[in-house]
Amino acid sequence: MPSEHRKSAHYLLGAISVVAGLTIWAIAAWYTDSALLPTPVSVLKSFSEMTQTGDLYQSVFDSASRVIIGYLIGTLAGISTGVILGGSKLISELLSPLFDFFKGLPPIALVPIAIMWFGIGEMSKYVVIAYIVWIVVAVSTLSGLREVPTIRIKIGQIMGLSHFQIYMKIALPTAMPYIFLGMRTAIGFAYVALVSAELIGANTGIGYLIMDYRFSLQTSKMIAAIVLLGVLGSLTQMLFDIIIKRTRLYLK
Amino acid sequence: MAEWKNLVIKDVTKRFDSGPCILSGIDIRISRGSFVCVLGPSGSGKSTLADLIAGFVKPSTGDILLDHEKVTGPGPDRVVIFQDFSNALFPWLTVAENVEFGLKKIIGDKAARRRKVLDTLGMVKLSDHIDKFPSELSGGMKQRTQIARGIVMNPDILLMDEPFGALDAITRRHLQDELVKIWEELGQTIIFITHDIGEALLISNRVLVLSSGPNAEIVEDFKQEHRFEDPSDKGFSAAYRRIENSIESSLKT
Amino acid sequence: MTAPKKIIYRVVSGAISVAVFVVIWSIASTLFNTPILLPSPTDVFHSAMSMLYEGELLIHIGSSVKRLIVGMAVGVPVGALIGCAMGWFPTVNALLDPYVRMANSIPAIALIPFSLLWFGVSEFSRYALIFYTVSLCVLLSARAGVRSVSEIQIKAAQSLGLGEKEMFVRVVIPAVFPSILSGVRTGIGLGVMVIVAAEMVGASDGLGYLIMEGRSHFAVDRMIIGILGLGLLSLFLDRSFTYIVEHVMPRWSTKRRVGN
Ligand SMILES: Nc1ncnc2c1ncn2[C@@H]1O[C@H](COP(=O)(O)OP(=O)(O)O)[C@@H](O)[C@H]1O
Ligand SMILES: [Mg+2]
Repeated sequence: MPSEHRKSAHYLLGAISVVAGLTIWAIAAWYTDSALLPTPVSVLKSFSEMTQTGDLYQSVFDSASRVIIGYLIGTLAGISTGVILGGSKLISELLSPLFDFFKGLPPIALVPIAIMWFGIGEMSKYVVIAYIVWIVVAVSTLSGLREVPTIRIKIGQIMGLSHFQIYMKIALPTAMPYIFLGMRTAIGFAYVALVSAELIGANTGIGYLIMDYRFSLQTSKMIAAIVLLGVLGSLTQMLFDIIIKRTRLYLK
Repeated sequence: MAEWKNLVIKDVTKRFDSGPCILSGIDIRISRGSFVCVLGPSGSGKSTLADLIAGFVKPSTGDILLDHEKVTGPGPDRVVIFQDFSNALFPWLTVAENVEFGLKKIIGDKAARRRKVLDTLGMVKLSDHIDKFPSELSGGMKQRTQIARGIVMNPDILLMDEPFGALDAITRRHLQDELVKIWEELGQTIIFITHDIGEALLISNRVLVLSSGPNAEIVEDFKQEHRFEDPSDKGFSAAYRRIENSIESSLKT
Repeated sequence: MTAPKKIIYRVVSGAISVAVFVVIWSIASTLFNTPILLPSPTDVFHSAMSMLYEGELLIHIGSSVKRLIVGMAVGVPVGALIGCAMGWFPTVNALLDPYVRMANSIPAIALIPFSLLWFGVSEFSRYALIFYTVSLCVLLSARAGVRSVSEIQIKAAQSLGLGEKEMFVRVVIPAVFPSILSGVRTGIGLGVMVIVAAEMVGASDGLGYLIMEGRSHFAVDRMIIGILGLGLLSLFLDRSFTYIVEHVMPRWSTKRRVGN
């Protein structure tokens, strides 16, 4: 098939482009102070060094547990809020400006006050992550419930279901894809909140490592940590997609 | 009045890549000014035939000629009217701007162009809606806009691929009548694809029947001297049955 | 709903939202009864008023907005251009896609240390961060927009006699424009997020600075003002952008594209 040919040609082009990019990087690094721009090789070396000390694993573990706990709390809170408020169209619409407001509030802005209220320990991190996940999931649950086509509601009425049954058996399942979409978006936000919290108020975690390496001008380690963060984020999202696919919950 | 061109489809076959032969041995001559319907079961290759004439795809063998000149690609001498009116119109342009779209390259003078656009919109009875956006129009109005956008280009051939297939019966009936009137007034060739036998008999004076694919070919070239005005006309049911039979028998083989 | 009814509905829902928020806050601050950690709404309102009088608040808001505008003024066109090119030319996409994927997987906030390292604690490093965030966001939605241009639209334009270049200018770009606009809208939100972060780790004005400064002086009221100001700013920018698109350039609203 020609389209297969084209596909592999494009992968090849992508690979060439990456190699070219790395070469340019290496050349540029050659002529630049290594504290500003280390070579790709030294980044790799730093990464393998980091894996040999226990620091990295401790940081990954700390960051991961923050994201997981914050995310789970936030998701539970978000779905509950959505389900409770979404039962009444009136309430959900009247309060929608409030949710829009909170959705526009960057999680990082809350980090200092969270530290003040909940201390510099783990609690403040959970709160900031859970907060943004909560808002994102609640908003998507509410909008999913608002999108339920009226015909489906009418079908429920024809079949003699009660108000509550229609909500549970028709409205909520219809809103499911929206809820999952919100949960997926929330993963990205959870990572943003994690980094925010760790950049400006933590003594462990990948975000802290990034900031720490910057202060000690260990730029190659800093880059390695940033890339690691990106990889972890993508892996989490992939894992989510796989679970959703396996459990076949994404059905529209 | 301009001299329209004749269309000759010479021994055309079409297959996509290494797939089966969709159309085989299509050999027809459509003289200028005719109103031809192409009928056929779904999946037989009607749209493929339209795409070939329009120049969107190239024949695997054979040629498509407009007055001895080979068709090599799409162009405004063979404007296509699509069934999918929601996508065919440009949603960011008003009705008048949509109609003006292709004309910009042909008529430089703004006022003259505008006049032509308004005249054409009058022909399709859209004078009251020129500044609306497609999203504010009904399906029938969208198809009128598409027709106006096509005929304003003064093409040799107006290629219509099941243009009224997504409209309700009453709107369809109106548009059929209006299309015939426009054709009688302008006189260029219309190639109209449909799977509705009644529609074909009521609007055209020549019906080509494509057998079911693969290897679809023209199994019937039905010419009538006069269009039927109404399904109750004498001979309509006989013609209807004859075409129906040739479709049916093409399905069995 | 008719237009005036809609406005009334909006005002009412806005007022109710504010009321709910303020009531919950009042109850919490009364129960908690530790003004140094959670001042009452009235206290915060008074400090906000005095900050407004002295012009301090507007200076902070102004600095943040200025950074956002400068970053976006460069980021939006660049992102739109590259995104359109990636969507339209498969080769360009093949070449740049690995980088886009990588950039997209790293939260922009994690790049703040980088920009500090390269550009120092400077106005330029903040512009660079916003530029990066916004252009990436617009790029992604422009690319998706180009890919969703319907085949029928392209065919219709070809049939009306358009060549490849004209097609790009007269069909692809207008068809993609609403996607670009919605990318800009998302970009505003992400831009606010990044600018605040950048201001928190090194700046002498802006809402992010206000929050950080409140923290070091243990002035929770100032922190709350910064946070609320930020939320309101973000909401205001988002709403006015949507309003402008819908009312000043309705031709390019996504609403025109659906409902067919
Ligand atoms: N671009 C294409 N590539 C491969 N096969 C195609 C393509 N376009 C159409 N076909 C095949 O050609 C056959 C005829 O399609 P079409 O012309 O759309 O039929 P009709 O319009 O009569 O319903 C179908 O079997 C379809 O799958
Ligand atoms: Mg077809």
